[in-house]
Amino acid sequence: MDAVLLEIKELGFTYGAGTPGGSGKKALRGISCTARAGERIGLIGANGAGKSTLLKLLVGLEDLQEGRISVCGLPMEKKNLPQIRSSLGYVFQDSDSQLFMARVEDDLAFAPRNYGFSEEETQQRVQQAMQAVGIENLAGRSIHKLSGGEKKLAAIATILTTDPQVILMDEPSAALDPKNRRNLIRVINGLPQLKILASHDLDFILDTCDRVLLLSAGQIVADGPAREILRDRELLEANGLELPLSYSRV
Amino acid sequence: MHMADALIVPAVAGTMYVFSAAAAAHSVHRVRLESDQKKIPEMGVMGAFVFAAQMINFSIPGTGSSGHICGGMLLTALLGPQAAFLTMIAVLVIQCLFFADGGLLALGCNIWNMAFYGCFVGGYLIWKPLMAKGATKKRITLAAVLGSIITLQLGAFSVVLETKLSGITQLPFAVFAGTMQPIHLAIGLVEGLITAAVLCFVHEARPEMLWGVEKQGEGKFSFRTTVAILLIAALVIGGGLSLFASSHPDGLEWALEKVAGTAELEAEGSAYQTASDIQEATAVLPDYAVEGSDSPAGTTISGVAGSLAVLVVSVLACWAFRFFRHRGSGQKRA
Amino acid sequence: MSKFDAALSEFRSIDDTARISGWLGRIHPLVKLTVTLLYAVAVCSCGHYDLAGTVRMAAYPAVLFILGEVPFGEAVRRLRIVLPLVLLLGVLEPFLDRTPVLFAGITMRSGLLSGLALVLKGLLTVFGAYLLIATTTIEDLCTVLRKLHVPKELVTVILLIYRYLGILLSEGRRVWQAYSLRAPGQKGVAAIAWGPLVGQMLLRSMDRAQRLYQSMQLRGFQGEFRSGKTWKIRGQDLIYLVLWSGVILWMRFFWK
Repeated sequence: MDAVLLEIKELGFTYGAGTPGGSGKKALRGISCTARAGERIGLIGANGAGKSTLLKLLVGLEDLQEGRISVCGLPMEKKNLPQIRSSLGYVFQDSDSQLFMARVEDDLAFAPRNYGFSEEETQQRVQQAMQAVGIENLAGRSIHKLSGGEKKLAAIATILTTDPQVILMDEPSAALDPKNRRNLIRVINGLPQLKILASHDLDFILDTCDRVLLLSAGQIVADGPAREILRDRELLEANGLELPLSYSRV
Repeated sequence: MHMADALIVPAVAGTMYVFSAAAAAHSVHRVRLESDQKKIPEMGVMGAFVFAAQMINFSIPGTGSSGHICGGMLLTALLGPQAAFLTMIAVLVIQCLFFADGGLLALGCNIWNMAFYGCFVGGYLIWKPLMAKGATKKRITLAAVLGSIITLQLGAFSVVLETKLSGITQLPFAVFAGTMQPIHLAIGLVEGLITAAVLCFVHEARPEMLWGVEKQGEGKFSFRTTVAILLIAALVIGGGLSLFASSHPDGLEWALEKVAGTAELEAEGSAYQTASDIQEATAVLPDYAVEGSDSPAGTTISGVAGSLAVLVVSVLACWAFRFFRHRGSGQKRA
Repeated sequence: MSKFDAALSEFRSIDDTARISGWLGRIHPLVKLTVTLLYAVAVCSCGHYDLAGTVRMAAYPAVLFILGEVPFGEAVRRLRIVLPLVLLLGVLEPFLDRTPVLFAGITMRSGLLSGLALVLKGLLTVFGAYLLIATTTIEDLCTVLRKLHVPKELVTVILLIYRYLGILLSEGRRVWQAYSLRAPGQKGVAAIAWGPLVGQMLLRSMDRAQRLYQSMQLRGFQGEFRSGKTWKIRGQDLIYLVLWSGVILWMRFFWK
């Protein structure tokens, strides 16, 4: 069996906890699951189900309130954050929030430089990342000149430079035209790391994931093979979702 | 209000660079102390936002014309004076380099004229005292309008001062100031109203975003007194009416008239020019920019300058007074 | 073509120019900055009536535009922003300063001399600054600023504004277009919409800033954007520096 890279036990989270007068909204409750190297996991659920919250907790963008998270053997604690963050790559829904340098190479080189790699090593990693997503032709370009699809690929490349073992993506196919969407699927399927993709696009999930976690009102209501869960019309509709187009047209 | 390089001489440019650099150093120090690196992306995005917002035409009801926003007060109310100051510097640098809006040499002047007054004077002397008892739409509007008017008046006046000190133009001080001040009064009013509208919106949508607002109602300074002082300040500056009729040349003026007289004749020898500029720049009050101060125009100029000086001193004195009084006696009733 | 488009295209064109610039682009940015500032100081320190001296200073931009193959048209377009006030003051000079003076054998008002000199200074300083930014990328300039101990906070903010300017300008344009489609014939935003229109844009910007901060945190941001590029001072940089400093000083002080 492949190594366990992520362990989540009884995770709970409330927005607005700790603010005066705040009985905040409980976004997650009792989340438990494990993920192993090489798995391709889809995180699905209706709006507000807690997908983004879960991803943010995994990278420490929100503080741990209840439960435990362990990433690549390290418990989620403040002192472990830098190491955890270099083992996890998080791709934002909005590429423009992810690409904040003016030029592609500088953005790709950002993380390695910050983590203290030599310039030579950094350039090597940048090259490898560009090859992994197929954007070698974009070297030297200004970010503002990239198309939406190119930006998404560049955003993925930016997180590959630290050799993450886990890749998290929030709505990766949002705002992509069909051609770019197909290309993205191809690129993602070529990445060997453990992947967790949160998405509304169930067809996309079907094309990129083997296992699906269905979130509803902050809880995991289903955890199993993608083809099974995504064919289950009642299950999906009971949780605010619909069958993927691939299945509903048949 | 962006000044081109051609409007100043190196000595004036250098002096203003020094002032601006000092303010920038202080700002960096304060921003670092807050050690909230979150501020930096905020400053970056808000700087870009101010750029974009400056391009929007705002129709002024009743007239056919449109106004624009400059952004100093807006940034200050959101980021605090120091972060806003640094953001404005960055905006001015980009405007200078990429849009030729303002010269490289004049950058020090532009930073002082536009960013310093807007952020520090606007933030500490106007916004903070008015928000001391909590934020309401009325207070926000008042602070934004007064802040914009006063800081733009100070900025415009500084432009006139710097240009005249550089001896660039033979335009009499009175005429120059007499044109700049009223124009910027109108601009300040419009900008203030736009800023007020935006800040009121933010106050309703996300009140925690506003800087310098005291949560509880207990303020340190009487609201009415503050308003009274600031209204008077606005009238004095805006109207530019002189309370001082004296135009007795004092020793300093006399010396400078001599120098100014000499400066008209020379056409070469930059060292001479530079020296006289330094001399003009280091002299204390603006009176000396008048050539031939026995004209009626001369009286008005020195009057305006004198009023301005009195105003700045009185506002600072009020602030100091408030500080010491509060320290001494504790609660202050309205 | 709206103001936003014009600003966007101007911004981008300079960006492009800087990146394809020829030999001038390879000169060390610190050297170019130094020479540019020296030139600005020299031009602005010319006497107010020293028209001849000011004209001589034009040699610097003339040579660089030609030999450096820097596009001149763009430089001229940039004049339109700061020139109005300079032009106004320059035009007023002959009327304010009527002292007769002999120049090149003709008797004229000294105000004419100072007016022309003023306008010329305006042109030359804009050209000088343009030569800098058209041949130096903003990243290189910021690297130089850091070397000069300009605080990292300021430099990072400059780079961030540079990066997000395009996005915010596009957003501003969208906001304006959406508004004008529902308010045909209006030249500007009506007072009732001032708050919400700009306010929404502002809130979106702050949200974007928050996402940006998260993104930077996740990739190990420590307060500074590091550049991988190191600029070494080479022989040609020193020659450029010494040559132009010498020429500028000579034109200013010694050439009669």
